[in-house]
Amino acid sequence: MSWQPLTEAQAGIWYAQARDPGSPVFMTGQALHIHGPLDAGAMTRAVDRLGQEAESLSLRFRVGDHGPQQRLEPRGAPRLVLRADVGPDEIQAALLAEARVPVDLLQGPVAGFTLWRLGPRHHVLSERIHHIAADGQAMVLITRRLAALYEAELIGTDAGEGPTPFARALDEDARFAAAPARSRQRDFWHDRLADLPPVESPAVRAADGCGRWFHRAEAPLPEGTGAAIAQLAEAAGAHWTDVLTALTGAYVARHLASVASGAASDVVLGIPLQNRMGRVARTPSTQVNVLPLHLVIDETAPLADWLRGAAARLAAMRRNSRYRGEALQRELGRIGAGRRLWGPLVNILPFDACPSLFGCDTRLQILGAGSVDDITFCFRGDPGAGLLVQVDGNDARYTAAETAAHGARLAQFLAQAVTARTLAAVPTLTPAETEATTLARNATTHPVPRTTLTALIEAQMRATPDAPALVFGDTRLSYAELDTLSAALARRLASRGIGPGAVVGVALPRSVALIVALLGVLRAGAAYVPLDPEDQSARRADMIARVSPAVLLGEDGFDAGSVPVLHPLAPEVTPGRHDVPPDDATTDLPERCPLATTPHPQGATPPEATHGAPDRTRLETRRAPSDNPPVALVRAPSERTSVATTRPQSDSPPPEATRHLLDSSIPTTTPHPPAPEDAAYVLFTSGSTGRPKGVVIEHDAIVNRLLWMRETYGFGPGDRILQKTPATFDVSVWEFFLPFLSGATLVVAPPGAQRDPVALAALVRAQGITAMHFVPSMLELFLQATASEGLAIARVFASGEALPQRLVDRFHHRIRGRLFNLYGPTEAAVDVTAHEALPGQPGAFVPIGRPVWNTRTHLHDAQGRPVPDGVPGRVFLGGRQIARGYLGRPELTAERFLPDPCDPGGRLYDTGDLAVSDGDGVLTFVGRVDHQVKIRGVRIEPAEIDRALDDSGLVRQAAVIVTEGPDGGARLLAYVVPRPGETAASIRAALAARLPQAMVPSQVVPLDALPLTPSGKLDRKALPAPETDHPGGAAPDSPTERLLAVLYAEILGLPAPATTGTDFFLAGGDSLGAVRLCLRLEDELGADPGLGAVLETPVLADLARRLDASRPGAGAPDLGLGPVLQLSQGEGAPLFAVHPAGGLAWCYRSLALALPGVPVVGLQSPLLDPDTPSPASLGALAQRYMDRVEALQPQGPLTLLGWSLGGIIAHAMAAEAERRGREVARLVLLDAYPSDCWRNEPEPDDGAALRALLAIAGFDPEAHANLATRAEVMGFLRRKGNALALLPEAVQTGVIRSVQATNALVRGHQEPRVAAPLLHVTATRDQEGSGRHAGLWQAFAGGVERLELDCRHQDLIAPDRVTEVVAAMAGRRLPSLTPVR
Amino acid sequence: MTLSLDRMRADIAAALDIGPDEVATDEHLGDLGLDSIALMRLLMGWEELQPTLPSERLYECETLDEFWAIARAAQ
Repeated sequence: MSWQPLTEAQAGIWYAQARDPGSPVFMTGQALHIHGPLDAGAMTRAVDRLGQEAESLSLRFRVGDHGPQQRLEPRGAPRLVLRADVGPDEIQAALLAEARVPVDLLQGPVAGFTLWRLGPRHHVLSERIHHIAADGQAMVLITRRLAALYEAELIGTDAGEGPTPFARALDEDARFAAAPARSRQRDFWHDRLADLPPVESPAVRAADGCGRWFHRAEAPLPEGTGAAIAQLAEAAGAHWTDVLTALTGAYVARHLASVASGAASDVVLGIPLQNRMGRVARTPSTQVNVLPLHLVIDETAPLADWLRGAAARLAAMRRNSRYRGEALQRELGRIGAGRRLWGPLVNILPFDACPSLFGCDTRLQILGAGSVDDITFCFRGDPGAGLLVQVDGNDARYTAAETAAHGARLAQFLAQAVTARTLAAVPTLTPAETEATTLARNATTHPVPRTTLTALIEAQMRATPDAPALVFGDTRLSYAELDTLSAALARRLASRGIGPGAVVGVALPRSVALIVALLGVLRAGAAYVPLDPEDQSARRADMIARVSPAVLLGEDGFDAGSVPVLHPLAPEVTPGRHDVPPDDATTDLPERCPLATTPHPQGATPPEATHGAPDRTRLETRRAPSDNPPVALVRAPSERTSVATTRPQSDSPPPEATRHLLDSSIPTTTPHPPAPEDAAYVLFTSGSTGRPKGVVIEHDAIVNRLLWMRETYGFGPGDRILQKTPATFDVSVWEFFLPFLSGATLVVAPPGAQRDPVALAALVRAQGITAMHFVPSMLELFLQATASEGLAIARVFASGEALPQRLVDRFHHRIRGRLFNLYGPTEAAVDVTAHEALPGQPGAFVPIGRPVWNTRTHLHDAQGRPVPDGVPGRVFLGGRQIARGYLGRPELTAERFLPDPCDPGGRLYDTGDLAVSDGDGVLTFVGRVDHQVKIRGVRIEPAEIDRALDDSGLVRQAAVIVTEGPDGGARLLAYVVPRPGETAASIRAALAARLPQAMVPSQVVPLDALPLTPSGKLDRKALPAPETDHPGGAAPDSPTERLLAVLYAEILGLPAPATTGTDFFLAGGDSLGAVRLCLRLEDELGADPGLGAVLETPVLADLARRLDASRPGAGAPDLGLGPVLQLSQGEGAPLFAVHPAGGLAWCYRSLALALPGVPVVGLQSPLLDPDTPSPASLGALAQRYMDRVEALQPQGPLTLLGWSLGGIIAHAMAAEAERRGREVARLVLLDAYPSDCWRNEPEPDDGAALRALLAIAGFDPEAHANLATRAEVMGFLRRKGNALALLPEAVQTGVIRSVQATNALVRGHQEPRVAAPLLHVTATRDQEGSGRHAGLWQAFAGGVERLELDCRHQDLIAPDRVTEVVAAMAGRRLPSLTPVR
Repeated sequence: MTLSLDRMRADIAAALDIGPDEVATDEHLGDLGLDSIALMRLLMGWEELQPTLPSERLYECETLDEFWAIARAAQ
């Protein structure tokens, strides 16, 4: 058979293998374990006969001009290898090792058979065949035939009919190519796939590379499942294989993020169709065809109905099974990362493939079944005999544990599904997994006393009265002083009838008064509701109206409508009235209380307890119960969303208060302590929509949170905790009270300091802060401030936004201390999960960790089922910290606080957040249910772009947001605070260099500063709208981009150079085009980027970035100008190829390609570097080159080669080598002639040097004689997209300089005689009649072998001729170019 | 009852869930949706009707005409 094109099926595999030529994943392999009397001699003969019959075992491949080609190599099939060196214990490892050996399709053989002798009656026969020569069915065919031939050899039976010849596969392929059925099927597929959604993978991680092997897991389907499948198939009127396929699709869908979140219900599987009907039924060859099956999951339809629909799709698919999947990938541009045509493979193989061998027992082990791009679910057996699921997970995307989990989970899923009425009823997880995720990971029970914040604080006050409790500015308060002040306020409040069940508003800036106010309210037994003192909006009035606080603690003049306003440290005042002069007040302060020095005058007002103002008090106490009675908030005991507890006495003022109402003297009523189930505070959260909601948190909840924190992080006396969060945000709750539960000191930052990194850093330093909190946005600013460098903060807590890992790294770089990432909604008492943020961890974001004490986290899909690890699920929270509900919003409360199925009477809070769990139960926040972003079908994580901006070093701060674009689709905007000198354009360019095209923001908006909310989060609403719109896909910029722009245009036939946004495949490229692109890139850049690079990053800008990154000195492309250019890799001693006059060795690239396995090293001229002085002589140059050669090959015989003037240098190097005592085994001169020939020729002038440049670039100078100036030559080369034109100008100058200087050196050179034998190749067309011939070297070498080729000088290194040159040389005995071992 | 062309056609149609008239005797059965798994099932029934049927050879056939030619020759 002569060289033939590949079948379509083979071509698909060839290109896939070309993506990663060293990968063994395309080997199909199996092992037959044989027990019994095996005759090795008969088996050897049987394998020999099989090699004759099964022709595809003899296939060899090559790269032709129009793509890959194949032929049958005579006696090219492998022979049986006999091995007896491996014992039974090592056989599995040995089989796997053997299975993982890749084959070289160009060299062959494509298959291998090994007989392992493990004992006299125990053997293993391993078979390996590249998928390009056989598919799974062919493997079965071949193995059965081998068994028949063995029997024939053994006992002389007739082996029967052998397999049909390989030519059938070629004929059938050609026949289908021309058949009307082909275009009919093509139309079917194009129609069916027109609206195919983006294909998602169940993999947790995107593949970084292809993955060269896979993990395997096997699980039998539970007993009875087979029978139930058969029944279900009957009910659905479908075949059982279709039922199994569809249900596996439903299983896969459970692992897709878009399905789990409820955003979509699509799954796209790949179905291998055997295509064995007809002429090729018995032809060993590859026929199997993978095609996409798009299923829309309907969880609520009767299962049989849904299966009927799926079976119909499968039936339609089978009627169109001959149109190749690879062709569809090409035609639909569904190639490469993020644009796959199908996801997981589902393969059902009911045939028993295990052959019997005469007189022996056999067992079959499948080692590899071709490639595993993502994950393959393979079923073996049948419903009657039992079914086994075999899961193969690509090892770049799945761990062994994840693969094993899929095996068990799928088996369980199927067992449940086959008896379910609808899919909705089928759990995703196995019972064991459900147990682990819902119970074991939530086993957070920890003894926490049922008590109140108030009781704990009072206990601490009694325990350490003299310890420092509070620092604010110059003010220092001991626990005793704080006790006095807060107790006084509590009594005042109690005297007004305020106690458990009441709510007191607190609208104060950070101050001593604020702390006293909060403590006073809690000690009065009431709940506090913080209000922003600066906020004058209707929003505040609305909140006050909804809470109807009994009183409001605020500064004078605070407008609370009809609610009485008190100052926590002052005598009571009526609204709008304030007639106690502050100066008087100080006289009554406790002696040790230096309140007079407080920076805020309002703090100087005295506590009520020491100040008598009976008339006003009387007025107030009359007013309070009548106008604003605390009972205004008290609802029926059963209604949880009131602030009141269920205790009956809370319906009315406590007895003390009642008594006080009658007694209008000095208010010293003893407060009534709260109970654990009383409300501690009410916090308003803005939420994404609608009115703010008042979240009611009980003492028991916040006590759990605070005691957890105290114990987990070891807080105690000596700690100094910074209070900087506004009281209206829940983080402030632990800042306020944790110190007082720990005997620590609360350091209150001055108002406004929370927004000022410099002031914060100064405060931390001056006050010796040991714990503080940051929202990540503010932490970023803080870490950017010079003032934060070198700070020591024992514990820093981050929450409120996703914490980027880069920020963590920067934190640890700048600050000594530990950083913890906390997560929790206001509705669950501040935080419910925690994770320590360590430097250098993988992933863009820090996990939020595991649940805190007595807290449960659940991740559910859109149907409320627990999701598997690695799949994003909606976060539900249960346990002790859950809020009572939303104040006065029973419907909303019922909507978000649901009954907890795991905890009778307990409730689950629906956070609306999405998180994903790893295999250890560590959660990572992934977004909001309502904020999922997809741009052009690609799921985008804006924070990843944030990180790229940060990595660019061009911005001080950045925020990436998603908005609606002009076309209605999502678009990305980057808001940046640029570093000096940077512009939106430079920043966008930097992003384009770092991110896939789809992730580059459509616009970069520079700002002076990013707007932050009072809590320190990014204020998205305050970001300005961008002014104009620039489409993506800019003109190429970097040298690599310019080169690619020209090459894309050249290969795709584009009218103009491509833009950076051009996608190679979408612009019309196919696999062959991609191979051409690789070859051209190799021509131009000196290194083949690999087909994988093009397939995975087809967008021009992405590919350019990848090319730049893969070369040394990322960012500064390796222009291939170094003194040593490694042109190809290989074993053994290198072939050194010396540059011609121009100084570049690029011209040997084709030669290197034509010598596979030989490492070819190009030597390039130092003259290319304009700063290097010219050597004194050619001998000096040769010495320098020999230094390089000796460094690369310190010993052994040398092989030197030179074309044109390079030949003269190679000869001079041989002389130098011999002078140094090295043997030159081969000296190959390609159309080179001794320097005498040139001595009298004129030296090349500038024009001649320019023409040399054209020649170097691969153009015939004489055909372009019109190009006279350097600008013209360069312009010509640039138009042709030649790499030379892309070189920096200095290097172009270097090339011209090299041409001239090397010619001058040659004219001054005199050849010595060398001992080395010389092979000379003459290009007769150019040399005939020139007087130059090989014989001229006779005097200078130890023998000259001559070879004459009918070609031109240039052809000896031309891509299309060099194979001939090599072939001709290979026939020569003397200096064969095979490597020296 | 013996194996007949009509019987074969009816069985194929039933296996593919199409009408017997949709099974043209000269159409590529693969393009009608018949695959080797489905054929294997059909053969089990046909072998009972006609034990002399050389089943293996049917896999290499493309059309019903070819099926029938083999079956008839072996009757």
